[in-house]
Amino acid sequence: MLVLMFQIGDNRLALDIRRVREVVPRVHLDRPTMAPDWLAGLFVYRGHPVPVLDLHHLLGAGECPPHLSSRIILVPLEREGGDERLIGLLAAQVADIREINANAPSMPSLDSSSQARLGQTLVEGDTILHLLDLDHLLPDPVRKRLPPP
Amino acid sequence: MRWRLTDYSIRARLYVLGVLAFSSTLIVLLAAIYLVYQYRVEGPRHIPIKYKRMTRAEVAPPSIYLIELYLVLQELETLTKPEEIRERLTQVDELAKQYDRKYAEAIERLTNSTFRRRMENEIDRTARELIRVARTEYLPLIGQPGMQAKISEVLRTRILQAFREHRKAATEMDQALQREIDHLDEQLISDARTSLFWLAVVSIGMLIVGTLIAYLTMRGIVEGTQVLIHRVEEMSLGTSDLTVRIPVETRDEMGRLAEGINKMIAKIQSIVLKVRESSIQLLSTASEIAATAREQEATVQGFSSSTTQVAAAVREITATSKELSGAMNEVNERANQAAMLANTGRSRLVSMEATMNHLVESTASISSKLAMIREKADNITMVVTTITKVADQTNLLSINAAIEAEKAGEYGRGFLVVAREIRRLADQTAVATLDIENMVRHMQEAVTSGVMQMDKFSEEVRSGVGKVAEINGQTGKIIEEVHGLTARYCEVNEGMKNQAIGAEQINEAMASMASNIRQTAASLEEFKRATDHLRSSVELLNQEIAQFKS
Amino acid sequence: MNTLPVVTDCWNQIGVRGDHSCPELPRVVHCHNCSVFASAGRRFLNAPSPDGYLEEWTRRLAAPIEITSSDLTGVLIFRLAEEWLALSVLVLVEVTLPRPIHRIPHRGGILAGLVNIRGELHLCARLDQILGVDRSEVACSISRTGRSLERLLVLHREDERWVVAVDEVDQVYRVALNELVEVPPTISRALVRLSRGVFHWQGKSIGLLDDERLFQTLRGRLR
Repeated sequence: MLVLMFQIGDNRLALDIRRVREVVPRVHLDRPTMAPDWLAGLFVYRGHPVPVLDLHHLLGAGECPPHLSSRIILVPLEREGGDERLIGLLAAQVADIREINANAPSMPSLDSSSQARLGQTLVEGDTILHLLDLDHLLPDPVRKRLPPP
Repeated sequence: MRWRLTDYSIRARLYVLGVLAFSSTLIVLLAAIYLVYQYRVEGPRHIPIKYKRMTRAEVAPPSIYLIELYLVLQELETLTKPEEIRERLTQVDELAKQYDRKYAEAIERLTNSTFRRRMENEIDRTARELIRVARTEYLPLIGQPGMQAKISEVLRTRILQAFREHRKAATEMDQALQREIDHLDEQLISDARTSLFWLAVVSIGMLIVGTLIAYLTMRGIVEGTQVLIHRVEEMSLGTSDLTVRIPVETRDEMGRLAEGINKMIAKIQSIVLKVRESSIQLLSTASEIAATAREQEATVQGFSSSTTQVAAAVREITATSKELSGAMNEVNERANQAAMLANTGRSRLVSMEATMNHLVESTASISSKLAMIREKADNITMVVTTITKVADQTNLLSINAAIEAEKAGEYGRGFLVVAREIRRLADQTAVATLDIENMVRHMQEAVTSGVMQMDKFSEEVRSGVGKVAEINGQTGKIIEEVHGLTARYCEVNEGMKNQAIGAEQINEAMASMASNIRQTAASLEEFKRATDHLRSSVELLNQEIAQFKS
Repeated sequence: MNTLPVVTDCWNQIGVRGDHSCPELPRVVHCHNCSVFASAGRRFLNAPSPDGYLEEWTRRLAAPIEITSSDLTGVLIFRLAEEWLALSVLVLVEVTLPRPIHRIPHRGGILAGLVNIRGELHLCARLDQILGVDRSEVACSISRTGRSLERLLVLHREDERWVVAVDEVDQVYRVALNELVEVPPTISRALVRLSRGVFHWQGKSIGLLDDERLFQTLRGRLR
């Protein structure tokens, strides 16, 4: 399957592009007061406000570097009630799309919380990838704390 | 006191004499002049006589006309021709007129009243009577025929009578006049004689007196002078006693002369004494001079040797100055060469300076070009920014394209290809931009280093220019110095020449001095001789003076 | 700009622009295909955003997308000699740079030859001949950078694929079919026949080709 490659800290991550609506460049984010750390801010996308999560904060990898390749990955999330809402994931080195073998050898996931968040670990060529599991990345408590659309 | 002629000065006496002589001569002269004046022809004594004679002469002419008249009347007696008669009648009228005229003149000239009256009364009366008679009694008869006898009668009686009366009157007057004249003449002569006589007397008298006085005066003078002459002759012989004086006996000029001579002798006496003293001094002086002359001789000798030394020294100086001159010439040449080289070097320096200035300009232009390159690099950087954006967006586009293609499923397959192509394009763009960035960076680094090097180079060039300018200035100074040297050399040369000339002059002076020394030596010799002469002369003088007793 | 140091620029040293000594070169043929090249390109983007970039995109993304009317047809506008033409994108596969067209001996006419695109041979037709457009007198189309503007259009309809050469390709334009006006009779008969109509764009009259008829013609000429 085709995956979108990006980097969080020292980890190379991948995301099934079927889960991706669009990748947009980094923009100014409006940070509401009393927002949690992992909420980078809000921006207006085609007339609608979209919350942006800083994956670096979520995964405990510091700050997202202010590069050109640091982009916002727009993913639709299913909410309770069936309608979906668009959220943005701020990540670094969002510049490559690769075809990976879904049946590639993977390492068993370890029992750490971060590992749980990161998702499945894959080996692709000479690199170790982490296949991001959005559902695990964003547990309910986090989702609940998202600003209303 | 006795009155003596000699008491009066000779001068006075001579004056008197002179005056006397002069005055007597003057008197005599004046008298003679007076006499001459008086008795000269046309003089005051002579004039009356002359007048009288004139009167007598004056009286005559009218009568002469009457005589002629009478003659004509006589002629008329025998004439018969009318024309001759007419002619003679005319003549008679003429003569009558002329008598009138002459009479008038004579009357006018007669000053003596006596004679005038006489003239009028006697002569004129008779004359007129004659004329009247002629006119009235005679002339009418003329020409009348047959009257010949009457005519002769009248002529012989009446005319002749009248004529004779007239003639008588005239003669008497004439004689009277003559007697007057004679009288006057006699008087004149006797007066003259008398005067002359007295003149002679006076002259002789004066002469005697003068001679007397002159003789007396002369005698006095001669006597006096005799004494003086004697004394003076004595003196002139050189054997006289200077102490003796002439006795002064008179108070006139001779006496004074004697006194004067006495005084003169006294003076001479004193002079002689002084001369004696002086001669003594002279002798001593002559000895001193002789001594001095000997000293001078010695000095001259020393002088001579000194001049020889000086001459030798001068020759050395000349030789040295020639050497020095030669050396100076060399130095000058060298200096000139140095100056030439300096000039050449300077011109090279100038060109070098120009080159360096060019360099500076070039470096400036290069620096500006580098700056331009840097600017361009910056511009490129700006462009690179744009291209980077493009690369970024292309990359993004490729991602989104892939996403869309995937969503499109089967239909999106072709689009995936496109997406891949786009990604590759983005990579190429990115790499190209990277390359450009590198190039720009390299360029900037090169530019920076180039600029730094340029600056360094520029600095070096500037300092080089400065150095060149310095060297130029120094070279210029050198040239100036050399020129100054040349000028100095000329000065020194001049000095040398002057020195040589001076040495020459010294030489000549030495030579002339040497000759002078020789002359001096010779003249010293003469000097000594002169001194000896002097001494001998002084001795002679002494001897001479010794004759005088003083 | 790019703060990361350049790790390598093997494409300039041992690659196609260098001395061709890269061991990967025989495998990838061109550096562009090499993963090292690609990752260099990706890494290039790991640089801070330029000034104003964020603001620009914030503005752009905020603007709502224009809803396009559905009755607009996408057409590719291109130029053939003096004529500006358009072709529906539905029949277009690709626009590519000119490639060598290998002539087929003994076959001329509208057939220009065979051309290799992405490893597949396609038939190349002379569109100018088909449309009756005179291409001979047109000067070489050169862009501002000195490159040729000529392009090859890869067409496909159902199972037929054709490649045609055009002088310039402009852009894909959405045209409303009711904009089309009648084709003026001054152009060639063939063109009149094969055009659906004319629309105006940027001051030019663009002739929209009838793709169905075009393919018919192509098919017909081929036999």
